Amino acid sequence: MLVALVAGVSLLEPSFLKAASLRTLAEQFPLIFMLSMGQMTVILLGRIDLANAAVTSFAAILMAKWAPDLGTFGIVAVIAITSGIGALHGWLHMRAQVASFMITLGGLGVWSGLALFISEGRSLSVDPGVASRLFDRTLGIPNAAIAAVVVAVGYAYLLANCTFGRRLFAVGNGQRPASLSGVNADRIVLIGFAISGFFSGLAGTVLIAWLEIASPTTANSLLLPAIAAVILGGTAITGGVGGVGRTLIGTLIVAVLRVGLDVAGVETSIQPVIFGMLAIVSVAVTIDRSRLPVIK
Amino acid sequence: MNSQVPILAVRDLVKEYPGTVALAGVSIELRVGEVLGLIGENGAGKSTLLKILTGVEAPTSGKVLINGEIMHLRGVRDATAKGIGMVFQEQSVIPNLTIAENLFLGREAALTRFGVIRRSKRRRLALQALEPVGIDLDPNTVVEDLTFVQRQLIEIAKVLLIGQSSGQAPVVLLDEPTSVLEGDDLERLISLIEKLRQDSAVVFISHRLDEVLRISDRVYVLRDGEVVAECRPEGATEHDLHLLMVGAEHSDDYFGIERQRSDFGPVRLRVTDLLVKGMREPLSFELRGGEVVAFVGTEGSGTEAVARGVVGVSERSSGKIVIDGAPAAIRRPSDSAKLGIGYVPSERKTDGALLSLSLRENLTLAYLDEFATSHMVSRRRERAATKEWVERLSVKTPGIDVPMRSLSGGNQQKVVLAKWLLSNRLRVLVAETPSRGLDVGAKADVYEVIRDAADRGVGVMLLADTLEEAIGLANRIIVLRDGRQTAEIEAPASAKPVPVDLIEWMV
Amino acid sequence: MVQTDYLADSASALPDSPSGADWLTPRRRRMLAAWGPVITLGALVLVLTIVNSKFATAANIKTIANQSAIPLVLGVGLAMVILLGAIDLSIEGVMVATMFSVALMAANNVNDLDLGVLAIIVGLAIGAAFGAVNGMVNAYLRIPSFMVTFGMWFVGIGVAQRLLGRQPPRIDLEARNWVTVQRLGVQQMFFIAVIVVALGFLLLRHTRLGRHIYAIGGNEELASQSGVHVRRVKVMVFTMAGVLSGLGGAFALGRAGVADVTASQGRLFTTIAGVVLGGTLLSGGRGGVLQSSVGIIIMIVLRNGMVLAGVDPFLQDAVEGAIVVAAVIAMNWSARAKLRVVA
Repeated sequence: MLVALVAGVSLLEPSFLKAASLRTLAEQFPLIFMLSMGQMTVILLGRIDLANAAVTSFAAILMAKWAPDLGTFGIVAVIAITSGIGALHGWLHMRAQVASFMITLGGLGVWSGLALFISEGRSLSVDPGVASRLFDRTLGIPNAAIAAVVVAVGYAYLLANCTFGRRLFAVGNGQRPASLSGVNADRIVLIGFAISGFFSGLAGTVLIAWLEIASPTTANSLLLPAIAAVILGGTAITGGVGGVGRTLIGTLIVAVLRVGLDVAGVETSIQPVIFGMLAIVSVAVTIDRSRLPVIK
Repeated sequence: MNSQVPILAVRDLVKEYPGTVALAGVSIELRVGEVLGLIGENGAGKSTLLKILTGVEAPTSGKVLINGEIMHLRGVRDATAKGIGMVFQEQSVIPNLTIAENLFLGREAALTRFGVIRRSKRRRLALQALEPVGIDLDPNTVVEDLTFVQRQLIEIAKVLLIGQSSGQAPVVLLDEPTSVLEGDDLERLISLIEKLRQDSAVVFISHRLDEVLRISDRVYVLRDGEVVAECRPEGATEHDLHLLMVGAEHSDDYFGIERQRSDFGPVRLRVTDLLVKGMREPLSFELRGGEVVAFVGTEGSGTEAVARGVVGVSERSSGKIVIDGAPAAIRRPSDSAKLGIGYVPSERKTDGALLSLSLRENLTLAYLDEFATSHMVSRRRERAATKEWVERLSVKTPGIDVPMRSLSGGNQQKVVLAKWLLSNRLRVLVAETPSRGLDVGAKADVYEVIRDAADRGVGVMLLADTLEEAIGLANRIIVLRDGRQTAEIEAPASAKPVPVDLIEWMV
Repeated sequence: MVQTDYLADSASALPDSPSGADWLTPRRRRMLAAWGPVITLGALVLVLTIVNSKFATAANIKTIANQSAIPLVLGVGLAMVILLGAIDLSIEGVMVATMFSVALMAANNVNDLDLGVLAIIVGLAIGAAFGAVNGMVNAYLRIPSFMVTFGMWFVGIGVAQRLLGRQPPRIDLEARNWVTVQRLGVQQMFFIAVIVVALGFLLLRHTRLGRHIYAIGGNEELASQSGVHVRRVKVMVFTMAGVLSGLGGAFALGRAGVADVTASQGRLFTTIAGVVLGGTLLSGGRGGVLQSSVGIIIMIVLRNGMVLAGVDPFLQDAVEGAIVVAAVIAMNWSARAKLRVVA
């Protein structure tokens, strides 16, 4: 599907293969990829994180505020904070037994509100010199973006091979049998949300490394494309089925689509329509209805 | 009266599930004015029969006739419309609605004008409908405010109401209606059933045999998916019925009694004053290494509550658990697993196995750490262990990486058992009906696995599927009734008790 | 997505021991749910009156009434959806999509189209269409409502953005009259909102459809077995919610006079928080339009109090998000043990 899409876009708009669009693609990809990796982790558990893009905005603002004084350490601290935010979502979700979409919807409000509050609604510029190792560019791509993709590849390996990854898939496939086999599902879910927060933090880093400004709202528009990327890749929202490889493909499809639509002259304004419908259609295709006795 | 056409008849009903036969040709007849008792042990086929009669499942072969006409029931709603109403064990009234709303739910057409409900008319009709079940309640009472028995009566009223509109005498299926009732409530229900028979037909399913004998005009006994007896209550005793339910003993050493140990290791599990929801009195017991202790009781007697309290599935309101002399803090199943308590849940498909994951992933899940070095799982070690256990338990499978779903029930259950047995950390095995739903050969395999575990010094806590199984496998049997322990019976290989010895403590 | 509630072990509850503390009988819980929000609102009003002299003035109370209109209308729609046990996240999207559609059809400065009242009717029909799609995809394609409506949220925003064109459409003063004309010192839309609340109340309380909504929320499977046309009811409810989101959009247009893509921002939070604070449980079947309306007024008064106290508007958004979480957790607390997959 991805190949067909790239071929189709290239045929219709030969300009797609030009350096400028490929650059935009390279710019969009790591950012969406970070968000979709976090979202995938949570979706594999049969949950969802509607707050992860808002947390990214929050992270970007915090980094912009702290980087001048703390440098790279400030960035790391912010990623630690966003991981903690994710863990908080997971903890509230399990402790109170409230649907994850509801908790994270509230989180969406809280963190985007705080991002706007801290930045006073303005975009903050970031001097790339403050954390030069992360913000310097190799072949025009910020090191942070490269590092993020490397982290994601490492994560793919971990997910497939470490005990946590195996337990994550077990909980996603069936929380009851997994728990009764001795898996501490509460902890797995909590860590899953923390990982989502971690990737939100990474996404924040990538965002300011590219743009060299931090806006309190830029990342918010990526919530839907990131979810669409995960589901398009074939990770079912019922949990337990999917993986990094699929999400990578899903993300590429979404990124190509975004850039392709721009190149083809489709107005950005209706992109939400396309991604909204895409998300619904791909859920319809991938969902495992036998796992849901009653669909609310 | 017997000359009339039976209001309900089933003929040669067969229901096969992959790997097992739940009903092997059952024929039953029921006439208006009759109360029919239906009894049988767990797995005898009662619930399958009810599912077919309420249209939840379609039979593999055989016929269901209502008033002599062949019917194909397409669901609970269809069955009720044709006059077969079931009063479920788990109640089927909607708690947040009022009595009247529940009674007429889905059939408000006669009560509405332009979609607006005429409350006075509904109230009048509701009062009429409540009259036959003899409760004097305001129809506008919200159902969740009612007691259990009141809700049950509402349900019966609803079944009768729908039955009336089917234009024939209703057939009322009562599934374990008395299991939680005592004293006055019980008497009320019994007298209601007496009244019901005047113009309807009743099927009464119960574990309480004294009530079955008291209420029914005829009793069908089911065993292994067949009707093994049809008898009249006059002259029959509870003991007779039980013997019919249990059936003849297996001749050869089906349960491996020869392998039963008589020398035990030290106490592995000591439970003191355990109290869990579903139990009425605290329970204490000990389990020694190599010992098999069976817990028996009718449904709702609390055996499951005990097992789930021990492994941390249900919250304990009191109770101390000591494993190998050390106090254990068990709050959830992951704690008990760490301490070496393995748990085999009774619902294999939903609770025991992860059907979409592979055999290997299921097998290594419980003690995954043992296959990992610094949190990284070694496929090589996993494969080796999986192959070893597939061979040891002779699991029939095309490979170790096939999804669990593709295995038969018996082989799935072996994997569920093996995931605990593969670790040396296993000290206690809590097995809930580990042989349920398996064919005879697979059952024998499961029994052998339990014997193997005992030989290794594991203490086994068994919730047996049948009395026969409990007696055959256990060194000791603890009998529960209504959430209390009523007896503790030794069952050494040389002097096994018979089912009747246990039954008197169960009912 | 499988929420834990889908896997919940419902069979574990014993008949004689309803969940929660013993003193909290179902009847008392209903009383608490019905009167708790009213008492909360009373206490909140009392505190604000004492703390801030500007609160209990006629002007401020009129402001609160004017601000309540849109959330009340949205709340009626969302309450019905939540009573089913479902959710509608598409409110903001449907609002702005309708807002732009109505603006372009009414007398405006972008095109020459002027359909008059018809513009509003067509606008509501557009809201209905959004809602119907939500309901049909949820009921017939069997996709969880949060996912469908989440997608439709963005579809709505995209439609609005598409309609935006070069400049935001501004509508003529007369076209705003039906919303803004003063009655008893309050804008007319407040009274329309009150009528909507009353109709919603009557519908839920006295019609077959209303009782079926409660039955589905109470136990969908049993309702279906009893002969309730579950899918049809769901489609109808989502459609009504879509109409009301559309009405909210039309109100917002009337108030502002100009269509704006960001006009609906934050509406979802206020509405969910209000509905849940009013005691309508997300699990469905409990609560109602009146309770939800009280909850929504609590949210409006709270925001009004924050404004009077000079709290930063962005911080107000964050506070509302936190209230959503806190309200949902608090209302769900007594049921949480029952919802656990494994204790």
